[in-house]
Amino acid sequence: MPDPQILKLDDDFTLVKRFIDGEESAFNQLVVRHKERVRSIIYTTVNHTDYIDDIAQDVFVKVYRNLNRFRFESQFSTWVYRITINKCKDHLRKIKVRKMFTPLMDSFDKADQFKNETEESNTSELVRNAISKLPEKLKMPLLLKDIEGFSYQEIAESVQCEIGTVKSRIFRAREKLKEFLMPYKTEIFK
Amino acid sequence: MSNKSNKDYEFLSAYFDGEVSLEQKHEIENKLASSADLRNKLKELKELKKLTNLSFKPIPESPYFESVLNQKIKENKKRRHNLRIFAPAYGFGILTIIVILLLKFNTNILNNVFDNRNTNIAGLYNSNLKPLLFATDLSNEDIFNFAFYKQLPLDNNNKQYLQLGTDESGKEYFEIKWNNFERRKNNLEKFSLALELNAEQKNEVDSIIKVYAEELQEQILVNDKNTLAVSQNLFNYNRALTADLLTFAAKANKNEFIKIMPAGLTVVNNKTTPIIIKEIRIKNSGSTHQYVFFNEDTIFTESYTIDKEKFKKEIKLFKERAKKNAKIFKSYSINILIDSNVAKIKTKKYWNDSLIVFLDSNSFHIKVPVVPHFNIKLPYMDSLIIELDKARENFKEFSFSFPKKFPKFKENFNFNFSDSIRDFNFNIQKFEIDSIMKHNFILLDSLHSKKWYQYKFNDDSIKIFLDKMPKMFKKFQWFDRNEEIKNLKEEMKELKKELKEMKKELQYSKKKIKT
Repeated sequence: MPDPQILKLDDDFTLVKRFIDGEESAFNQLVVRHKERVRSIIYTTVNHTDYIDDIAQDVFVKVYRNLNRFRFESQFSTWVYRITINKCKDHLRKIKVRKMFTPLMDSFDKADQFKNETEESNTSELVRNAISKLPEKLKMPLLLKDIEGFSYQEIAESVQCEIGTVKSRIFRAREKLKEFLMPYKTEIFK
Repeated sequence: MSNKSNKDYEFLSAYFDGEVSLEQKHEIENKLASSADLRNKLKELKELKKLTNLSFKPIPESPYFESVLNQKIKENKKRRHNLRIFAPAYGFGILTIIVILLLKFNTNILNNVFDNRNTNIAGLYNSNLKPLLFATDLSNEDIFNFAFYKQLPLDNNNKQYLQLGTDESGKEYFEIKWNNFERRKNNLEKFSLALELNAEQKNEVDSIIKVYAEELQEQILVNDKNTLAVSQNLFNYNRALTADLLTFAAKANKNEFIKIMPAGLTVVNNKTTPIIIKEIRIKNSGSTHQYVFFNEDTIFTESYTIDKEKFKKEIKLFKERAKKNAKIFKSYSINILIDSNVAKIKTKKYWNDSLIVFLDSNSFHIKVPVVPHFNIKLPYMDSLIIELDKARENFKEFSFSFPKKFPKFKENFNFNFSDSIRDFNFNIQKFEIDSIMKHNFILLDSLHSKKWYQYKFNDDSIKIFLDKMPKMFKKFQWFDRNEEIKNLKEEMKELKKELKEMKKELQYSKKKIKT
């Protein structure tokens, strides 16, 4: 009877090493371990369920291509989340560019639709829309903290900045969010 | 919100997230106990976080995530594999584009490559080049004949010779002919006899020839690889030698010189000819010349630098050994032949570098488009034009009269308008350009014998003058040349008519006085 495999904290490293040694199945295990977190980050960042799996798969394709070059200097998870955040940023940039080339009438329609939706929708949607309006550099730390429960250290590594900056950005994000939600105070806090 | 409270709130936010040190935690908690504002703020933070957490509901699971991902990874692998397969083709394509762009914007690269190639080829043929003396010994008679017949023997067996010439369009060419060459004899002696030269004058002729004989040694080179190199300066040396001999002859015995060479006197000008000769020789006195290299395999042009001192020593030694019949130096036998089959195929011409080479079974005929030209002081074109313009403006206002002696056409062309307010003196230099040597004597001779007013002033002199202008000078559009010439022609025609009429009147009035 084979010895039972004991999973440790640094299991990611073991799996990465096994993959580098040629064991393709180790990659599948890494995907299983991290896909939900990756999908969650994408969902909160992009605020759209349609794109979650596409972006997440792109993230793992990139991880697969570059895994041989992983240097074991940071947590594997941090490395994956950094790739995820960058992919999300790319996606949001693409959407922004695409909007610039959307016909004027279409954008008007969408704006109206959005307005109606926000007026009629529930508190959750109001809050999500308010968060989506936050600048990128404020939104990411806030979501990683409040939704994903990352520590300041993890956030700093994922978005590649100092801990002090993370602290300041989270505070500013909260102030901004409060400001955006102020008109709906009565609805939200009924 | 003041800066202080802002900082407090930021600390509070970090405290709320559990990201403060123990010391900071106590500090904040103390402040919270005393400040209702901070307590409200903390409450707000809690509510906001609650709202944020509630707004993002858990996302549904994706059952096919792994299988889709595996499919994507496979496709990605395939795409990368294809990219790797075609990488050489892409690389080649990119390289081609780079090369095209490089050559487009930096054409010198290609030129340098060809230059290097040419230099390498030249290296095969131009080693160990010696003066022509090593192939044939040129006598004074040969040099003299070179001046007037433009032929030089290339070997001692009289099989091959070099012929200089000018074609109908005025372009210079030279030919290497390999039918038997007949060395002309006694021309130098006839020249001395006809001019009735005394011993001292004969020595002077010999010394002129000797100087050129030495200089000619640098103009035609040979080596043991059957290479013949002909300098493009040879044309200039031929001109200078001819002019030198003619000047000497005119000076030595003018009357006899006219008898043997009626046109010779016309082309020799005691003032300008020596200057021209000097200029030609100074210009060509350097060690580097442009040579046309002939070999059985190839013909090409190449700049080649000779070691003058080494040449002098070799010539001296060669002559000394030749006197003693000692053969330390090997005599080279130059035999430039062309395959008759090639000559049949290429009956007309082909281009080799800057040369235009004509082939037939009897000779190489090489047109040298770029013969190094020398600067000769021409009359200033602008001053001449100003003079002519001034004169033309005033033609109608003046009445003309001529001095008793009609101006003879020598060097100047003089008009004196004595009864006008101003006098105009046309001082048109006779054209002493190198064309003197190029143009055959017959033309000049007939010109000399005709009366001055029949000389086609417009057609010949101005046209020659303009054609011979240095290239740089031609670039400037000083005036519409053709239009000006046309106008001038018409005006000069009218002038001619008037002059003829005046001449008739003068003759008529003379007759009248006699009667």
